[in-house]
Amino acid sequence: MFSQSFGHYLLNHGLITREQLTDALEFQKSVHVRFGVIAVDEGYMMPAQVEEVHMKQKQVDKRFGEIATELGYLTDKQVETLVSKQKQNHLFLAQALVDREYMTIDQFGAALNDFKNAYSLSDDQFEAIKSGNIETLVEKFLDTQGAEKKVIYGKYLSLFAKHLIRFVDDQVYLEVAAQMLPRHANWFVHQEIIGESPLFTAIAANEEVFLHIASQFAEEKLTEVDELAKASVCEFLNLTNGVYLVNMSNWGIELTMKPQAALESALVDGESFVVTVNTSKGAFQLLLSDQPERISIEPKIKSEQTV
Amino acid sequence: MHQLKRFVKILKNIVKMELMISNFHENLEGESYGSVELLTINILKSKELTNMENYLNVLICDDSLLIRKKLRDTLAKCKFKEIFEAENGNVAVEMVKDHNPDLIFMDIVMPEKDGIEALKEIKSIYPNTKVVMASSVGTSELLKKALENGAYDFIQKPIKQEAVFNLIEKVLKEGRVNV
Repeated sequence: MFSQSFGHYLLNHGLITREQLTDALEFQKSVHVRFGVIAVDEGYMMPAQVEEVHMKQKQVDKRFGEIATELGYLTDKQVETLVSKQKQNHLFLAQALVDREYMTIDQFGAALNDFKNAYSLSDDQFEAIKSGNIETLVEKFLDTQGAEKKVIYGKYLSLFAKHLIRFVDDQVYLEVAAQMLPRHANWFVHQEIIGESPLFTAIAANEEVFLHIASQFAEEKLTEVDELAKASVCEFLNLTNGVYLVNMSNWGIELTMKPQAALESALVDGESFVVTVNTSKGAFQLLLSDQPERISIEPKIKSEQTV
Repeated sequence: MHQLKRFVKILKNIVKMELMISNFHENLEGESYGSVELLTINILKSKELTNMENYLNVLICDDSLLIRKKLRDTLAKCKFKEIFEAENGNVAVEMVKDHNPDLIFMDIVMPEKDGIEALKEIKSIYPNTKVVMASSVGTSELLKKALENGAYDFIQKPIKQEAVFNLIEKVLKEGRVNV
């Protein structure tokens, strides 16, 4: 996620064009080396063990290295080596931008430094973000939105970003949306978490992005928003929220949740924290609110149902 | 003499390998399975399990069409007698009254009636029915609640095919429950 975030930083500061960014990210994606691949390449793990860790990561919110160590597949020292090797991944973005003469190496270096300063990153935090630490990146992203938002939404947003990368799309980039509601969505999936720290969660997307999420999660190509596609996006949100409940329970907060639901053409009212999530197939909105009772959803087509 | 022993050992290994290869092909049945699935299918096709697997009825209760579809696809490989589906706890209880399934996969968070409530009702009608809770919410509090109300086991979502096969193997080994 670092390359996407830094790439958009370059775009937003007029240092590269959108086409140049897309081109460079495509290249970066094609050469990006995953943690598990490096582990196999180094001879630390067998492919089946990597697969097992990936599967486990979809059930519990832990890092690859953490699970692999627990299972006895990697030592702490080996994890350290792999983290430092993966850190080099962002260099592929630099290489793409410089090779294509979109930027000079000096400009890239200066922009990297500006990015670090803009988000007030310490050296350690910057290193963590470069090696793929999503919690730190999300934390810094939320810092710009005020301390309150970080406390309320930080844990959820980190998990959501990780789940998106694991299940849907590894080219994810988050932005705070300009509008705070009311808003309208073609397709809308929502679920409410209840208890002492309630949370309204919703995904609002156009058809193309909705089908992208649905197809990736269902692991089959879905071409129309039918019951299966709706069920798939619903289940993605439900699964993420389920793991969030487990995380919160581990921190001593017991929560439950209501069944998820899908709506077509809904109008959402009430103030919520809106995060624009950019995927490789376009953007969708993640809506969060710690005051679910203040959110109202009006279906334009009254066919709300759980799927 | 030493060489002869070595030769016999090599021969034995060749026979063993050929047996493994022939079993491997027998289990392919024209479909391409991953190595883990193949291994599991091998286990399921062992004589002991094959004798038992054709008379069990199973019920999938989940409000997600996707989960019901994926689970049905997985269970279809085990040749159950019948696979029933319910989209909430109410429908599940009715289906249990009508069909008395041997094994139930039960989601927890559902509309109308949740999985824990349905579990309680089902266990009061058929105490021996094996109800496996399948949920993304694996908190210790919920697990405790499920076990206290008679759940047979718990599977964490997303459901791993291997976990389902292991569970069925366990159930089949214990024999039929609702005779």
